[in-house]
Amino acid sequence: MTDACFRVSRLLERRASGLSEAERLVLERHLAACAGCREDSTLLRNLAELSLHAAESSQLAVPSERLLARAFVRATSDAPEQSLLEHAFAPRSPYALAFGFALLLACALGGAWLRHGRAAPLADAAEHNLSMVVAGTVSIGGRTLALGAVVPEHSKLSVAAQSELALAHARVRTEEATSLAWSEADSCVELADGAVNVSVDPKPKRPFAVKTPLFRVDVLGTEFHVDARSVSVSRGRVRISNAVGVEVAVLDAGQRWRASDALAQNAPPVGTADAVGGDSDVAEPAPTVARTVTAAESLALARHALASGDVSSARHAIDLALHAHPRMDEQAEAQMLLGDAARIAGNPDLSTSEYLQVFTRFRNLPLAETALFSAARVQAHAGHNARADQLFSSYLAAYPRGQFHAQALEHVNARASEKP
Amino acid sequence: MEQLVGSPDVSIEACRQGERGALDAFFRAELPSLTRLVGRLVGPSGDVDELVELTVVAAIRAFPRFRGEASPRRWLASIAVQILQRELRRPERRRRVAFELVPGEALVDRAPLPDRAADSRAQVRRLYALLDRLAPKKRIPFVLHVFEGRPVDEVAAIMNASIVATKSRIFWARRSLLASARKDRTLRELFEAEVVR
Repeated sequence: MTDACFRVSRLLERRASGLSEAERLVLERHLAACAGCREDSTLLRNLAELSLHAAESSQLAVPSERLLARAFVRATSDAPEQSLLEHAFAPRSPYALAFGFALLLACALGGAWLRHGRAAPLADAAEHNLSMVVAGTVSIGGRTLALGAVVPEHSKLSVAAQSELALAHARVRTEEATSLAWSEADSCVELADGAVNVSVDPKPKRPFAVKTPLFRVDVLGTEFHVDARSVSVSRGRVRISNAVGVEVAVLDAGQRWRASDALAQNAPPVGTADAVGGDSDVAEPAPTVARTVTAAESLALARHALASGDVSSARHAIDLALHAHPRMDEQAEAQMLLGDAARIAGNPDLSTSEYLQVFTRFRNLPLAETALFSAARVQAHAGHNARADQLFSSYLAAYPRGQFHAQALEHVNARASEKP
Repeated sequence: MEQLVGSPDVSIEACRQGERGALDAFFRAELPSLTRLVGRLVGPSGDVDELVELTVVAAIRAFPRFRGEASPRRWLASIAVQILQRELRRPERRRRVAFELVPGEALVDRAPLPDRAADSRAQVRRLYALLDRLAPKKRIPFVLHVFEGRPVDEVAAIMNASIVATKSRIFWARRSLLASARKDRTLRELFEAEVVR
């Protein structure tokens, strides 16, 4: 890169914020002569165009009134956000930084020494990253794979009992006839049916996961057993999350967890034991770290899913919230989100029905007002003007000093002026 | 009485005192530009709602301390940037972004779209995937200055950094982004011609 190219690169950076006439001439003259800078210029301009596209297509998933109403509630109820910000940007003491660095260095050296001194039980599979049949009978669509054959990705494998597979840095053994699929890219076994015992080599420090229709187990160096509804850990520690990614439990060695408990919300409350006896592989459960997901967490997840337009995940999360013994206001919020989900899915009538249920069931909560207004607005947007008029009028009658009074009145007046 | 720029009916004093009506009117007027700014900074990750809401919550709390030295819009932008910096550092977000790179995961991809629009969406996602690789302190000033066209001094003020440091971060961000984009198959065609939308 020449000096001229360097100067021009700075001009390219400033192009969007405005160049003087002289700078523009310098830039154009250089671009005409230098192919590399011309390419940079085109690329930068196109990337800016893409970013503009992203900005212009950014829309709020929830109506702005809802967002503001929720923000006002959070601003007055949550722990102060500002202190968090101040903390995040507070200058760190150089002594604290030096101490932190020394601690990190000591941990890294200690970890390396420990790993060096330990025998790697699955060294071959881990080091060579092989995914192959080690023992037993494994078949795909009736075709049996030979011992040592590579396990194909994303294929439904029928694995006979007492078979063994080396999958990346883990060994997977089956106790019974099992149906599973293997994804090399994310080191994930999708367990459709049956049960597996998994032994993961911690050496590669890479994640390994087993996914069932109900939950997902993430692991780093451990031995555990998974069937369709439960997990038990023999060594190490695993994290279990539900189908929408919310962490529901962390299990240490000797602990067992049942999916039905958490998903049917019969699980013990936060911080209590979830011990299931009678399994010979499982030692006496240690003091537990199992934790059930709260209604508030599920609702937050649902809001996030709705914001990204993922209606089915949002509905699943709302369902979890409704099964997590929600408080009255959380029930109202869940029902409101069901209305939002229906609206995003393009079903205005269902959406209106959900909103109106919030209005009738939770009349004494502030959310009822928003719900009635939202119902009216959905009908108006759907072009059901008569129904919208009726709902806006109901809103004005129920909340003569409501926060959406001006908009409701505006709609009613506009409609009145349209009539001959 | 001091009036807010772009919101002639709203007084700063009323907002400082936490009057619900004034705050409501102010944020209602500012939400579109705030949403656009956040959308441009984070891209199509689905976090826009949450980030906008967090910004509004922080701004409501901080309004009593707003001295009026900057325009309210710039002040709101600096709050949004602080919130965003914190969010971008969260490992959950980094994981989620990586997950979004898997083709076909986003809901939008499942909808039938014309080829051109689908290409364009893929390019937008790739652009933001590359931006995600940059440190927030480089990425944000780069987007604000090079893409958004805000002057360097304004960007420096928003980032609470010196002008020299801001220029340096923009420079390194540009170099790194262009180098990554050159190697990217999805973005390759952007070298060749201006994108027509």
